[in-house]
Amino acid sequence: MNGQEHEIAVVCFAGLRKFFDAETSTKVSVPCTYLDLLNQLGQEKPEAEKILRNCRIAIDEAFVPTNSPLDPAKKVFLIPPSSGG
Amino acid sequence: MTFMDLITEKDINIQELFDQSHGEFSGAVVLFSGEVRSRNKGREVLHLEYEAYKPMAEKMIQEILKETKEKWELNTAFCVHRTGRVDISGCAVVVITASAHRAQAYQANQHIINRVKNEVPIWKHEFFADGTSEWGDNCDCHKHQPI
Repeated sequence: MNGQEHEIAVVCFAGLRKFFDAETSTKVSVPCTYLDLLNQLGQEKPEAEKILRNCRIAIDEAFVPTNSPLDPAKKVFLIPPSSGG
Repeated sequence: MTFMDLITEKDINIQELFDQSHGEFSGAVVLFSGEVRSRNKGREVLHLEYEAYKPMAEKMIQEILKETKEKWELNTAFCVHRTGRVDISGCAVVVITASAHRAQAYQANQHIINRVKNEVPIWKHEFFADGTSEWGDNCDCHKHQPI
């Protein structure tokens, strides 16, 4: 079944900004998961694949599993591995 | 009691936080200050810059403090983390815990800083003397890196 293409707003932090703007967007075919979105971004920027593989996904200031269904209406925050302290 | 932001671009006023940590039921107050050292992984560090996803980071720190306070029956639990530039020997993060006895305060303090380093969306950008810079990768607090 072919999905519908949606433009997804994506916010990037820290090391991700070596590869993407702080606020970017990409098109994905919905239904899909956040993992599919990460894979899509990895295809656009293969050099970012390593960090994308280690990112968590935050929606509305809460983490969601990468294999959960993507909500095209929500801005996606890509959270690279923490390195505070 | 006055509260500082949990994530702040300003210097952390350690003394002010410490002054707020005492209480008649606390026999122990433990203060951890995470500070910027001049060498990391064999390289000379000039300074660090921290970035955070502030609303989420503050929410997560609040939750960590609440859970830890309940688990170790603390009277006080504070954590404040810097963003922006922090120079060598500058304070990047402070954790203060106070409890009736020292064991709880020590254990809880370590628990808080470990969780903040591992879980909270805060990132360190290291600037080296050779002109390069690197974003810190995952928390290395359980590894023994050469310094």
